[in-house]
Amino acid sequence: MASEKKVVFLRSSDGEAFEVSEEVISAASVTIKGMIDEESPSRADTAATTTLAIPNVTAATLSRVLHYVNKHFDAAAVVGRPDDYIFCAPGDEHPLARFDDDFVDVDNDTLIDLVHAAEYLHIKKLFDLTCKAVADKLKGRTIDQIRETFGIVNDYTVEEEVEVYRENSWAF
Amino acid sequence: MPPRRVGAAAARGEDHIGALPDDLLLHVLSFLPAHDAVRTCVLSRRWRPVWKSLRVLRFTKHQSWGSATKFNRFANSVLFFRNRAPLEELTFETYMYDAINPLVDKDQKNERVKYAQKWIMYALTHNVQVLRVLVNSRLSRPQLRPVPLLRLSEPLISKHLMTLELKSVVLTSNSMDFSSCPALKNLKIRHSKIWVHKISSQSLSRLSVKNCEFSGDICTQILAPNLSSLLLDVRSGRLPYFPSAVLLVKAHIRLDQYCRDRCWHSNFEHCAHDTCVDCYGNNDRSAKCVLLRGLSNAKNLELAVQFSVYIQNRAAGLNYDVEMRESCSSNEKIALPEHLKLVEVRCQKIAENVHRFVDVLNAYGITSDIINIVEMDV
Repeated sequence: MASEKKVVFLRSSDGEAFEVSEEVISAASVTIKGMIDEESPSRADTAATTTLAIPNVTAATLSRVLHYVNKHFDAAAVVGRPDDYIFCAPGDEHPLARFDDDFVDVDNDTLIDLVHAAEYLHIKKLFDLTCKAVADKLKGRTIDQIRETFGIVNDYTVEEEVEVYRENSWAF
Repeated sequence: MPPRRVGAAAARGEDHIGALPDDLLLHVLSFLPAHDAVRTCVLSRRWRPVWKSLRVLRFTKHQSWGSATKFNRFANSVLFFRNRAPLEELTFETYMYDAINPLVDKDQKNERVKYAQKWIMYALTHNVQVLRVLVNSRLSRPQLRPVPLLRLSEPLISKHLMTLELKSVVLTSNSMDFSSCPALKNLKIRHSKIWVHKISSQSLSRLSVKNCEFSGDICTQILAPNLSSLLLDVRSGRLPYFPSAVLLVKAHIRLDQYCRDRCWHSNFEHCAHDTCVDCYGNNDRSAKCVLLRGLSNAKNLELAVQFSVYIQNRAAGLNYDVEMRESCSSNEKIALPEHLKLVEVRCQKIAENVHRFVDVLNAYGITSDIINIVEMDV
């Protein structure tokens, strides 16, 4: 039994089920590991596979998350990662850097959904990656460009806006 | 009052980013340089107070401020107006000092590091975990080394500090005594002058010293029993040494031609100069650098030596010298650490003397299967 690869099913908020290796998802997601640990006493003797409900995440987002998780947390697929930062030469690139770049090259809504999912599922690396990708869209942009990109409504009155700029004049 | 302006994107959808809870928004902003993060306050009412709770502050992109005074005013204002939440990280790059440009006068030079000590104190009193002090200066002639403008001589005191990174600073006195930083794990020092008797920390696990100058008079001791990885790249001065063996897993050591521990007659094997301090001046075992002894637990040791720097080890009555001239010749008795799993020999050209060196290693029990010869570009 032990040598057999256990799988779990994750059911998205819109009812789609996704199969994933128990070992991989437990290494990736603190939240799901917690759910599996809670379940395990009742399923110790049964061969039945577990289905876990992930009510906060849609199928579209969940399938993206699992794509990421399988790339980053499947020990068999990931070898020789230069995690030891002090030995990284400037030219050294994380082998998955390109995958990560492509992964977050999506529209804002998809990206924000991924931020929420990563936070809910407690996948630290994915949370950092997606938050950093959002930050990159803010970096070095003018205020108007940021409002345009994210659809932020300027709800200051003219007087308020003048005051905010005056109050923080040292930042401009 | 109704919204005054509505952007095109806003008309299409909702403000998803503004709908993020504060925690998530702060995490997003923590990846930005401080000025980009602070400027979001003018976006909308939602954003106005957010930056004040930032726990990660990175004062980078200093040049965009146009002068050191403006940059300093910005950094000081952020620290003054933010709320008193603890800090996770404080990084600051000081405004660039151009040593080649003669227009810069002394006041302007000092202006660049005027508040550095204050910012360090602020960080430590706000429980900072990651502190990066990066002094910027262009190279000075003739040595083409950065000019260190900031001198640190007092020990840091913090229960929370885990990572400390220093660039272009002068470290003197007790500045490298980390007995009051029990959580310190990572220490990274670049382009600095390290003029201290001791670098000491019980908790330190990673140490990186890159392009640094040690003192020509003092042999710096490294007292870090829990060190697991080490990168040591010494440009000049005496080599530091480990008075007692450390828990090393990985070490990468590069010694440059200006290292003090070399035979200045370039003839260590047959040095005829009785007065050569480097070959003969240490019979009392007082000041000799014994680098390898402290590294005897290393499972992976990479040693790159320019010219005839030599390293002595007098552990357990053994007395051996390893000399590598231009990384490729050796003499005398070698008793390299028995835990060694890989020996990498780097040389400019695989020539006769490299093979001789490998023969020497073989003769002392280091089999060819753990020796890796790497040809380097000049």
